[in-house]
Amino acid sequence: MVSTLGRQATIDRLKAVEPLRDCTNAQLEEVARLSERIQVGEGEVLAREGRIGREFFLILSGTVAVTQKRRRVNTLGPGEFFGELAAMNPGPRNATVTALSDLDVLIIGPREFAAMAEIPGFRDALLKSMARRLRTADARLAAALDEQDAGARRRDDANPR
Amino acid sequence: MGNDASGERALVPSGLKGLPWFAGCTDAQLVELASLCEHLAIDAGEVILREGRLGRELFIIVDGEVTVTRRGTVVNVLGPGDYFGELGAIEAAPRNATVTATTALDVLVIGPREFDAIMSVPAIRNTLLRGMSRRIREADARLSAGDTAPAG
Repeated sequence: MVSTLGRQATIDRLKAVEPLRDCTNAQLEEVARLSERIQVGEGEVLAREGRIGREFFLILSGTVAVTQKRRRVNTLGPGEFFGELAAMNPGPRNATVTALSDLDVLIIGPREFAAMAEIPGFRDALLKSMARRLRTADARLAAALDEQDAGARRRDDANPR
Repeated sequence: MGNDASGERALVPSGLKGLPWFAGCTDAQLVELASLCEHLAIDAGEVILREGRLGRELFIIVDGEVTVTRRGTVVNVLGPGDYFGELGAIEAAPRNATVTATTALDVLVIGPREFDAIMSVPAIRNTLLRGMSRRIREADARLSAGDTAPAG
């Protein structure tokens, strides 16, 4: 069940959100102009792994579960966002995102997303979020390789030639 | 920075123009960019970035080759037009790899304040964002392909 809310109320709401906290009123008006604010019910799926989607989502209130192959990989809350990869580069979603509670969320299409990236506060939040994802992915890959090496050593130890 | 490189401030806009990072830039932007980048010559064998050490600079290779290693294992080889160090430029954190010049190297070095300035140029910002989003997708694909751990 989805409904839309007015722009002025949105601008007040946006200022409370971390990536937009230092924005000027003119910038907030721009964000409000570029986005659509919707209410989403608990249990709704906002993005589906493997399916094409181009929108970017910024959570104003509520929480979502991010899952890959039905494993929870992350939980996101107010001020956090998702969908930026597909907004920048067309491609299938790499995770399923499901509302864990009722949500108040901004949806931004790919063309408007490019304009959003002009806003310094938002741009910095986006860059930092992506940098952290890369660091985490690198760390997980290194750990997975370590685990493979350790497994191979255990097998070798168990089967002396 | 821990870099023993001999440096020279020969800023060549035409040299910048050939780099994918600045492909979408106007000549006026390139002139301005040249003033934001430090142009360095680095000897073969020099360690440019050290795993675990803090560093804030971004490096763009104009000419030459580097190896990227993590805990002694080579994970990548980079050449002209490639870049490294961008995660540290975005946010202070220990470097997650060691980068060593395998040949004599010609690099642009961009500090965090200058990085912020070039990120306000849409053409450059989009190049980096697209590159990072592609790498995130690749990393996710590799992780899910090799992932045999039980669901948690």
